[in-house]
Amino acid sequence: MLSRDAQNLYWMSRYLERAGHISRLLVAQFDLIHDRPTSDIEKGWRRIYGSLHRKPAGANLMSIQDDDFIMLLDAYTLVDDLAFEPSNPDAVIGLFGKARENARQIRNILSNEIWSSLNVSFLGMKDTRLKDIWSGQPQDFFRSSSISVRTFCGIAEATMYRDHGWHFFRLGQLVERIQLTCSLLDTHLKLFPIKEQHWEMHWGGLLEICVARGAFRRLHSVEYNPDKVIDFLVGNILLSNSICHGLSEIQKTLQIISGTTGSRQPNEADWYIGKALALIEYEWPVRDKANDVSTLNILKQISSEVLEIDTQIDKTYFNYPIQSTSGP
Amino acid sequence: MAKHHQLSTPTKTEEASKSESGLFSNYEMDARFYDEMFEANGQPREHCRILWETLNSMPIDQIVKMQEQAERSFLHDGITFSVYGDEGAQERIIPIDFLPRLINLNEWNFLEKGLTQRLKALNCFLTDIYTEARILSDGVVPVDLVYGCPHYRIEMAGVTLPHDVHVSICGSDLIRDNEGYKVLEDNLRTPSGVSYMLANRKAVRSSLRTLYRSYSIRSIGHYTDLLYQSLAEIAPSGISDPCIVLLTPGVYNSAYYEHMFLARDMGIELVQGNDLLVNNGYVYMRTTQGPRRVDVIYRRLDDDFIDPLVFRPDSQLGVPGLFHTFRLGNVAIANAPGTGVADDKAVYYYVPDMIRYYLAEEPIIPNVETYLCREPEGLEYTLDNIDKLVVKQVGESGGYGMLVGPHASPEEKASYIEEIRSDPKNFISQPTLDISRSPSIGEQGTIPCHVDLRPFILHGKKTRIVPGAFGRVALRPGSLVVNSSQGGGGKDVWVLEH
Repeated sequence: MLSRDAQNLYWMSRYLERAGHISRLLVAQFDLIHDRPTSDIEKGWRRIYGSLHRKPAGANLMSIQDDDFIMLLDAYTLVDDLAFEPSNPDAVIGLFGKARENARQIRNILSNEIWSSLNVSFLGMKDTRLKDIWSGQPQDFFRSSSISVRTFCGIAEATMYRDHGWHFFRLGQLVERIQLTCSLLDTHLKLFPIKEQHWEMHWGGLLEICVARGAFRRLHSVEYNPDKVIDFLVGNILLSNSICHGLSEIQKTLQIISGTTGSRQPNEADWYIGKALALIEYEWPVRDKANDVSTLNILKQISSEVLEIDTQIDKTYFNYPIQSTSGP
Repeated sequence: MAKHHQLSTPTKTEEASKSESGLFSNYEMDARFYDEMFEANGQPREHCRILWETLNSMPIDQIVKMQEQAERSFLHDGITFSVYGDEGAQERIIPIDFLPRLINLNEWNFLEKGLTQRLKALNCFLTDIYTEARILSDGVVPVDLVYGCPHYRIEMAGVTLPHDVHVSICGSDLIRDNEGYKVLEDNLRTPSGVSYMLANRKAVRSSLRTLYRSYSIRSIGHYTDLLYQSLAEIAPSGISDPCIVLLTPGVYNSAYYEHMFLARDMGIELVQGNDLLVNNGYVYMRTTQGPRRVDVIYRRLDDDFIDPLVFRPDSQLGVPGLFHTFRLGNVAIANAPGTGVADDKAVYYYVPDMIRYYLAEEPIIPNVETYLCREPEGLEYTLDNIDKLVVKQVGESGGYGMLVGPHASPEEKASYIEEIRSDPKNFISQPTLDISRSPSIGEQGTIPCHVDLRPFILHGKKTRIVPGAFGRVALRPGSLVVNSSQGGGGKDVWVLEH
């Protein structure tokens, strides 16, 4: 497969995964806005902006330091920033647009169904402005964009030929998901330390964002024990959105790709994925659960290994140096 | 005189007549223009009778709805072209006119012969001018016209190609007036439009399926099979299963959809310049499994951009070293560099002479009458008759850079005359053509609109033409310009089996 095509597939799925994640963050935040006191709403905003490592465009203009923008900016401004702000590289609409641009580059290898699904979603939302939806049910817009991403992934699963393209598409999705989950858990734990008592909606909301609430309830019933929630999201191999499951899938996918590449050098990404899986397998179960720092350290290490995997994928398959005509 | 498409030069006697009932009740004929559907007396032509009867029984709302649905599906499926303006790139669809244009088999056979003859002569011409240049030394075509043409590539001198194929894909624009079919121009560099031909057919066939079935219509669905075969046949010698790629300038090119469509349908990679590299005299593409050798490049970018080491040094779109590899015979490029000299608007004048010179035959399809401003008589005639002529710059295409005398203001004409006087070699002129018309859907029923045809002629070891064409229609009232960038639309062309 053409390296540029593989790269476009990889980034298309990363952008869509991110768009779906931010949409779900906003849906969860609307739940807080409707039901919870100001302090919870404020923490909800901090969770979003902290996990995305971002400040709203207005905060910079107003020279607001630290996280004080949360107190100074209203919900309309913050939602607008996260969903529609053109200068925000991770605004939901912008992410759909970028994914579509990636898809346009590789339309020749996408099925018509995949392209139409993404194109129709994008065309349906590209001219939407927050003022158009604010007076109604704005959360429906984000619920719908999250569903669009899931629908897209389902169509891709059903129609994509299982060549390298499919595997790079999967890699992008998995790498992005793990990085976003690590970052979300990191911010969440800092805002809601396990030892402290918190209203269960924060933990239920966390599961909702990670599309894990239903599965969690089937396993653990209705009690949102923070320890169990964290364990579920990180270490449950049966949960398709867990970090553990994602790492395991990355490993399998990389093995399929490198197994078909003949004379290639050993794949360094394999080494980093091994390290990340070892963390889950050996360090995660014995961490000091009473001490959040221990949990946060492991998450940080996993995130760092996944970042390396991303770098190695780029170096090995997309932008490798060409020494001779016999192959890299 | 047509109600909706008035031309500003009512110089001839107007003999208006109306066709009869239903959808066509307000359709007005004009004897100046050949009508593709109706005889001069307003009766449908024999091969169009079923079409006429079927359409007459359909409410216009239904057809308009079908047209809108098709256009919406074009947008959703991304069947678009890009237009660049002050607000950046915009993706637009080519509007579809749902009423097909019908061509009977005899007419098509005539066109096929004429187009085959023409492409054969053009390939002979290109082989000749880049090797022995006999046609120039024999004085059939002026030497300075060829060597002074900006599209003549001195770098191609001495290059011989497999089967002498310089042009593998040709799109010739045909018009019809009361005298018959004529070639308006040949597109020999990177002709586009074939994907819209196929998309229009798909849309019209699925919406008008009963009508479609009531005719025996020749299929065009195998175009990409023929294209692949033609490209495979020009591969460097000794390669039985060549690796073929389509080289695109990228998503911002106006014809990107077409590039994507063709690559996908042929099952070949759609590459950009930075996907390719040259090493040890061969071209490779960068894949996830390492570099892979490329044998044939169907390029959809202009000569200027294909190799910055030979042509424009600032090109970011091409592949350094590609031309050298091509000269070595290690990769084929379709169409070959330097083919633009044969579709120059002044060289066009000599195509009938080329046919006589190389093939010893009379041209089957004539050219449109053309005056070369580089010749004193042509210049004088053009300046004296500018009110009646269409004046074109020889290097422009797409309907740009031309003056339609009968429609131009005195200021525009004065300014254009200045330009012609300062550089006569850069201009040709042609009479304002009485281009044929065909019914299109208007707000109140059908209206007559001017139409042309762009069939695609392929050439590898032999010539192949799918029986059909990208039909274009001037949807803008009063316009003779069918180009999609200037208000033109697409029209399905049905070539009948009988």
